[in-house]
Amino acid sequence: MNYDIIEKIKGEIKGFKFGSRLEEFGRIIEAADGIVRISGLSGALSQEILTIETDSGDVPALAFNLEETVIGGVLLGDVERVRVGDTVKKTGKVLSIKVGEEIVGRVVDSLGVPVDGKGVIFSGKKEIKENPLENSAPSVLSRSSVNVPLHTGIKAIDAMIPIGRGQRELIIGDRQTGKTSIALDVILNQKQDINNGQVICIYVAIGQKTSKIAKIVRSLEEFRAMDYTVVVSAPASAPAAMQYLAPLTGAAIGEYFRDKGRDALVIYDDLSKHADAYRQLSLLLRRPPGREAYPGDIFYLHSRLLERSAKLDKGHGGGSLTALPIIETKLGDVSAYVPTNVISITDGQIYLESALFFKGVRPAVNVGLSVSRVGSAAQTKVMKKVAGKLRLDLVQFRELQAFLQFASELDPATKKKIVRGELLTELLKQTDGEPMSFEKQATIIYAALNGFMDSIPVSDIKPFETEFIKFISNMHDIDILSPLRETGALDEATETKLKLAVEEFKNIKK
Amino acid sequence: MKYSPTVYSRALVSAVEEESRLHAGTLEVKKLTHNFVRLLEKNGDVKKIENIVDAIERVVVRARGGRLITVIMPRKFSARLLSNIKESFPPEDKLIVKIDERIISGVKIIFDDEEIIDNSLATALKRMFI
Repeated sequence: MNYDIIEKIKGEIKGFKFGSRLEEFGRIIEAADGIVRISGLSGALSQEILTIETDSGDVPALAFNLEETVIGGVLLGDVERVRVGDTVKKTGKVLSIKVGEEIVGRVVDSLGVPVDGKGVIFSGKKEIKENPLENSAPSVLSRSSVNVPLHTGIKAIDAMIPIGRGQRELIIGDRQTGKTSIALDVILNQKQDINNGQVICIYVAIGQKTSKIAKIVRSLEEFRAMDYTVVVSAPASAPAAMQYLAPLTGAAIGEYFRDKGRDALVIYDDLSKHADAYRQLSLLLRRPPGREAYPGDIFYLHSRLLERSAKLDKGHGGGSLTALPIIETKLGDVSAYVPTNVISITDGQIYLESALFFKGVRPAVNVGLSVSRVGSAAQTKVMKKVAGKLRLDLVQFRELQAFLQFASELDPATKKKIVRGELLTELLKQTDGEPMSFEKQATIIYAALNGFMDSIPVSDIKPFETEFIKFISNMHDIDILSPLRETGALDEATETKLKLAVEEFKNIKK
Repeated sequence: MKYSPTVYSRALVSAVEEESRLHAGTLEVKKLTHNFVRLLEKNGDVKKIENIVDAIERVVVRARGGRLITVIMPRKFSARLLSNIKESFPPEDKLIVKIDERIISGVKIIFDDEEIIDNSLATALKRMFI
């Protein structure tokens, strides 16, 4: 037996103070499906943590429903240990988690407990803060406008639906349309987009398959993205309470970095399952069901979560928390209850279409229905200049595509638009797991929109792009890519060099 | 359960009080109690009669201005000690004594099933090693 441990326990026994105190308590009168009903404890507060004293130890619960004589609680621990008649006591605390620098790189559950098998998170050597899961959003006066880009590494998004740090941009689409792939590419791209500071990424997995979460973590580790990422895991096998709390945990972790003046990104994958978990809890607690059996405050659930993502002004540290909530639609129905709720809350949406996905357009972004309400305010000058016409060209192409099917003779101008549209559609296709830095995106989009690639057949666009990017990275990093990266602008001198570089590459290809 | 024990107890106590006001001196408590049990049968709540009786006791004691006090001991105390404990509380309070060996030593005192003073050794040991 370890002598140190014995001495430590002896010290605790000698120094132990046990005084009598009058405590409020309640009793479990009903326990089922992860929900308990408690009689007594008339002084309990909403969202207060309660402790259920069972024969095999204490089980935490959350005071969810405060009724006249009964409290509806949600179990946060092992549901099998709780019995009717068990004593319940208040703790006086609201649900919170420990956050600090050491949580980066870890996979935790909704209560902040590590689930990656790498041991204790906090060694006590660095700062630890207790952040409440439910927290009020920053006030109007403490915010500043979104003006720093958050580059996703995806050409279609960075060029036409730019996202800024502190924005909420919804990713919406049917199942298997690439929503999670976009989210992961955004995380991977933060490794190379460090000009405006490293973004800490928090990926919240809600109600997903455990195998999928494991695959995502492995993928992030492979790309060394876990160095700046936290994963909050509430898989499909987790109780509804954990799935309900997971996004709040993600937001609490993100707020820690935001309040420290740093930039953070939180991805909620996905809020549809979060809404389902909340509906389950509410129905079990017998709250009145509303539309589609969701409780009446389903909008407020998501609005108060997403309002915590903001860009703070310099007086409050200048940090930001960007949110990328994901919503899964059924058969492309964006007019369903929860999707319309979240669309109205967020600052724009990226709409992914199954039809585009099966046609081979990946990422399957519907440019017409996607929007970023922050717009070019969150775009670098070079992207604003270079990609200004991109959306217009694509929209015109989509309208003209219908003519292709029945028109036999087209005028030269229309033919040119169609060729350009096909070129741009092919150019915007991108393999997942390969995010592209914004300066490289700017060079290839510049080449496409200024006619340098008009003579290239559609089938050769992707190889041309790959080789051009390789060429410009190897031969023109110092004179073209570096200035773009550092200044974010395309001045005359750099533009001239870029034009010459494209011509040079085309000559080499001949 | 169709209604909670609290609702049943308040209804019965209120019925008894009304009966005593209307028919002073001819209080038919037995009849009321009989009807009450028939009502429980009708509602299918007879199995919960113990909880309902506890609730009635609480309501009656509160109505007299007292509290329902439960004292939990690890073993049977002497009559003198029990008497001392009873005298510590005002006469309106109703004292219930229970034996629970699991508390090991010490005593637990519960007031109206809402507040507790827990001086048991079992709780002290649990708190010591948290």
